[in-house]
Amino acid sequence: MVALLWAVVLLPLAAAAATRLAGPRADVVALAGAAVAAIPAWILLVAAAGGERATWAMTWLPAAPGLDVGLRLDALSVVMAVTVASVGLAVVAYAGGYFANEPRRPAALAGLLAFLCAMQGLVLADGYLTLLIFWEIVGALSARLIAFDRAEPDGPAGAVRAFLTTRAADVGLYVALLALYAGAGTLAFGSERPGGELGALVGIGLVLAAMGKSAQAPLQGWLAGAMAGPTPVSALLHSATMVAAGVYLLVRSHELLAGWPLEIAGWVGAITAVAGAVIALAQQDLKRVLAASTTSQLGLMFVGAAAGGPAVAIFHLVAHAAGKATLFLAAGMFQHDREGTALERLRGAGRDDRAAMAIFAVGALSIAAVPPFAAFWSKDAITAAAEGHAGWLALVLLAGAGGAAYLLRVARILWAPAPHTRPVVAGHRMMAGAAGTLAAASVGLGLAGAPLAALLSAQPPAITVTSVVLSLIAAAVGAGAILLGWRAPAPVAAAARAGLYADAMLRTVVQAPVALGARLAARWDDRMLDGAIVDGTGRVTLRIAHAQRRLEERRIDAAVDELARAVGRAGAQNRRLQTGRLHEYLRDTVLGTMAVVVLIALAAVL
Amino acid sequence: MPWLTIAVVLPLLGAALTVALPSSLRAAPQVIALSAAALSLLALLVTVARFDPGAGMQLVEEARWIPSLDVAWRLGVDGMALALCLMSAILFLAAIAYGVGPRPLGRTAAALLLSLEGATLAFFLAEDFFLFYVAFDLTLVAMYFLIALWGGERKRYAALKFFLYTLIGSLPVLLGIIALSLSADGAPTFDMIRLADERPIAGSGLGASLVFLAFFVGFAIKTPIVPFHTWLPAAHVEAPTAGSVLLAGVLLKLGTYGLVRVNLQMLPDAFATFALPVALLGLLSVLYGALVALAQTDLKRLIAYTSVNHMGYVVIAVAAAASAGISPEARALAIDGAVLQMLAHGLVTGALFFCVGFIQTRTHTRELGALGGLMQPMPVYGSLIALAFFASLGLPGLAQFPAELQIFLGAFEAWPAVAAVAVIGIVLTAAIFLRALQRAFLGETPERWTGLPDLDRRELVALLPLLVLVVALGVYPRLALDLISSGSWLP
Repeated sequence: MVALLWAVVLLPLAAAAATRLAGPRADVVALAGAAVAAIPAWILLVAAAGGERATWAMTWLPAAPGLDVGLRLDALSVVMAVTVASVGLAVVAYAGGYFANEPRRPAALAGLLAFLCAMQGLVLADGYLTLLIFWEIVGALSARLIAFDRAEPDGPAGAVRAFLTTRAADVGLYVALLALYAGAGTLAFGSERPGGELGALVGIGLVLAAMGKSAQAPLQGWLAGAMAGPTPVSALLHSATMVAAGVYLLVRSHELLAGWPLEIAGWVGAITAVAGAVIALAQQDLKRVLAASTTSQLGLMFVGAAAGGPAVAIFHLVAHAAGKATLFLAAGMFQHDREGTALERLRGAGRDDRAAMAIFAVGALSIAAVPPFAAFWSKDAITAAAEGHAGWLALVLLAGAGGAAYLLRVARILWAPAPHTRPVVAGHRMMAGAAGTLAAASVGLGLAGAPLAALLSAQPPAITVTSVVLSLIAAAVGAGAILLGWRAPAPVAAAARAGLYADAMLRTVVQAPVALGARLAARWDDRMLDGAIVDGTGRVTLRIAHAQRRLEERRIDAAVDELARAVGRAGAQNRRLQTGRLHEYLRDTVLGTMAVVVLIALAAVL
Repeated sequence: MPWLTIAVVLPLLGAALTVALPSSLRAAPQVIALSAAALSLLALLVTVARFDPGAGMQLVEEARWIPSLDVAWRLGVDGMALALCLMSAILFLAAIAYGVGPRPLGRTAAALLLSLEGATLAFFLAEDFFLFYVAFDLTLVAMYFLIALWGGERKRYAALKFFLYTLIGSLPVLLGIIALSLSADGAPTFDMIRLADERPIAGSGLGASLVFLAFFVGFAIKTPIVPFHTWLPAAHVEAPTAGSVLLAGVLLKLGTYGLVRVNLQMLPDAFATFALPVALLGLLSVLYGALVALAQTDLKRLIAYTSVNHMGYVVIAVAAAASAGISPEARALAIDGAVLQMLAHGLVTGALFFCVGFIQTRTHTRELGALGGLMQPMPVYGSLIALAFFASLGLPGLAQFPAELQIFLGAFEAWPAVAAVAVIGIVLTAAIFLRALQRAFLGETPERWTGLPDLDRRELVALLPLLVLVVALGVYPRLALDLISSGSWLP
C-alpha cells in the first residue's frame, strides 16, 4: 500500500519530466503519464473501500519528537486523490489539444503534471507538517502556471497577487502549527484543540489559511486575477483541486476545529456564497464569472463542512470539481473559437460550436443545481444540513438563486443569435473528447453520495423534502429574474463589478501601508541611520581629529619638537615597510595584532 | 593525520605559493587556487567520515604556542563548526571557479581568496581565542582588499566603511576575550573548550553583562543586526560578484557563529537576562530588513537587505535557546534551525549574488526598472534565479524552509508573540522576490535585451552546485541536521 501511495505522488512527477523532454509528442506522453498516474489512486480507492488503511512516516526534523513527514491512506485522502487524479487526467488530455499551437507546450503540460504531484502530496499528507510543505508548493506552482504567458502583463500580475494573498493567509497555517505543536506536542492529524490562547491561535489560523486557499471573502480577489492563466490551469487548479484544498483542510481538521472555529468558517462560507454569486452576475468575462462562481460554491462547501460534517462537504467538493472543470473546459473551447473570453466576444459562440455548448450546458445544469445532475444532490445536502441554522440557510438559498441566475445569463449570451464565424481550431477534437468525458461524470456523480458517506463512515447526506422544495424555488426565482430581465440598482451593480470592493479594501488596509512603511524605512535607513548617524559619526570624528591636530601644532614646545623629530626619524625608517606589497601588509597586520594582544595580556597578567 | 590543520593550512600555503611563483605563469594562480580549495574541501570531507555526531566537540588538534598564556594552535569540530566549514569550502570553490577580476585568476586575487578561505576555516575551527581573534580580523583584511581592488564605482568608500565598521566591532570582542581568558580558574587560558566547559564568568552581574555586551556588539555588527547593519548594503553593492557571494554567504556567519560559540556557550547566564532584548533586535532585523528590501530598486541592494532579514531569524533562534526555562527540545530545535539557516542562507544568497553578477555583466545595470522580460532571452537563467528566489522566500522543498520552521518552533516556546510576528516576515520576503521577478524577468522583453546570451559553462559551474544543495537540503534536511545535532554539544 505504501508503494502505491508513493506511486500516486511520484508518477505525475516522472510524467512531468518525461513530458518536458518529449518535444512535439508531449501531448501523448503527458496523457499516457496522467493515465498511468491515475491507476494507483483508483486501486487505493478500491482497497480503502475494503477497509484498507496505511501510513508511512519518516523523521524529518530530528531535534525534537513529533516532527515527521508521512503519507497516509484513509477514506478522506483517497477520495481526494482519486478526484485529483481523475480531473487531472481529463485536463491533461484536454490541454494537449488546447496548447496545440503553443511552442512551449511541453513546459505547459509538464507544469500541470508537476502540480498533480504536489497536489497528491497535499491530500495524501499524514500530519500538518507534510500538509504545510505541499500546501505551499502548490501555491508556488499555481503562481508559475498563472504566469505561463509571461510576455502578457496580466499573467505575471495575477500570479504575484495570487501567491501573495494566499501566502499572507498561510501565516495562519504556520501560526496554527506552532500553537498546536506547543500545546499538543505533535503535528499529527486528529488531535484535540489545546485550551486557552493556543487553541484560539490554532482555530483562527487554520480557518484563515483555508479562507486564503479557497478564495473566501474578503480574500477572494486573487482568484479573479488568476484567470489570466491558461484555461486548463484555471480548470485544474483554480476550480477543481487546489482551491478546494481549503475545504479539505477544514474537513481534515474537523476535530481540531470543532465548535466556534467551524462556526466562523460556516459564516465566512455562507457570506462568500452570496457575495460570489453577486459578483458573478456582474462580470463581463466568462472565466471571471466562473471564478466568482467557484468562490461561491467553495463557500457552500464551507457551510457544508461546518453544518453537515465531512461527507456533505466532500460530496459537493467532488461534484463541483467535475461540474466546474467541465464549464472551464467548455469555456476554453469557446476561447479558441473566438480568441478571447469576454462575454461580448462570445455572443452566439454556442451556436457555432455546438459540442462545446452541450458540454457547457451539462456543467451549468449541474452547478446550477438542477436535478438530476450531480451538484443538485450535493448542494441539496448542504441546504438540508443548514436547516437548523436559519442564517446560513437563508444565505445558502440566496446563493442558490444567484447560481441559477448567473449561469443562465451566460448561457443566454452564448446561445444568442449571431453571425456565423466558426473558424477551424487545432486540437478541437481532443478538447471536446476530454471535456465531454468530464461532463458525463457530472451526470453520474449524483449517485456517489451514499457510497461516499459509507466510505467516510459518516452520516449519509440527508435530503429532506423541505430542502428540495426550497432549493428548487430558489433556483426558479434566480432563473426567473434573468428571464424577466430584472436589473440590480446601479450602485449594487457597480459594486458587484468591482468585486464588492474587497480588493480596494485590502489595498487600502494592507498593501498601501506596507508600501508606505517600506519607503519610509528605506529612506530612514539611507539618510538618517547610514547618512546622518553612521557616516556623520565618521565625519565628526575626523573633524575632531583635525581640530586636535591644529591645536597640538600651535602648542609645540621644544621638548615635543625634539620628540617629534625622533618620531620622524623612526617614521622615516618605518617608511621602508610601506612597500605596497599586499602580502607584506597582511603579514604585518597579523604580527601587529598578535603583538597588541600579547602586550595587553601581559600587562593584565602582571 | 591532522585533517583540520590540513584543511586550514592548504589554502594558506596555496596563497603563499601563488605569490611566490613568477608572474609569467599566467594560468598557475587559477590552478593552484582551485586545487588548494578542492583539497581543503576533501580534508573536510575526510573529517565528516571521522566525525561522530553524538560526541560534541571532538577531533581536537593541539600544538603548544605560547604556554605561559595557554595559547595554542587548537582546532576542533562540533556539528556547527563542521557544517559551516563545509558550506564555506563549497562557496569558496564556487567563487574561485567564477573568479575575481580579469580571467584567468590573477596572483593577487588568488592569494586573497585563498587567505580569506584559510582565515575563515581557521575561525570556524579555532578552539583557541587567540587564533579565533586573529582569524576574525584576517578575514576583514582580505575582504577589504577584495572590495578595494575589484569593487564598483564607490569601492574605496565601501571598503573603508566595511573595514572601519567591522574593526570597531572587533575591538570589544578583543576586550571580551581578554576578560574571559583572565577570569579562568588558576592560570589564564585561551582554551575555548575549557572556557565553554568551566564558564568562569557565571551569573549576570555587571561584569558578566559587560563582557556579554562586548562580544554581542562585535558579533552584532558582523551579522549584521539592525541598527548595526548599514555597512552591509554599501559593501555588498560595491564588492565584485565573488566578493559579495563570500561576504554574504560566509562572512556574515562569523557573527552568528560567535553568538552561539561565545555568548551562548560561555556566557549563558548573562545571555538569559538579555535574551528578550536580543530576540527583539532579531525581530526588528527580520521586519525592518524585509521592509527596506521591499523598497529597493537595485537588485543587488535588495538581496543585500534580505540578508538582514534572514540573519535576523538566526538571532531570534539563538536568543530563544538562551532564554531561561526553555526545554531542551525547543533549544535543540532553535539551534538546529539557526545553524541550518546559516547554511541555507549561505547557499541561497551566494546563488543570488552570482545571479545578479551574471546579469550585470550582460546588461551593465541592476535597476529593476531598466531590466524586464529577461526570462524570454535567458530561459535557463530565468528558471534558476526563480528557484533561488523561491528558496530565499522560504518555500518548502528548498533549504530555508526547514531552517525557518525549526526557528519558529523553537522560538515559539520561549516567546509565542515574537515567533508569531516573525512569521509575517515570510510574507514580506515573498512580496520582495515576486515583485523583483515580475519586474525584471517577466513581462515584455525590451528590444535591447532580446539578444542576451543565456548562461555559459563557467557560470553554470559556479551556480548549479549551490542550487543542487539547496534542493537536497530542502527535501531531506537531515543531510545537514544529522551532522549538526546541536543537542549533543549545547550545554
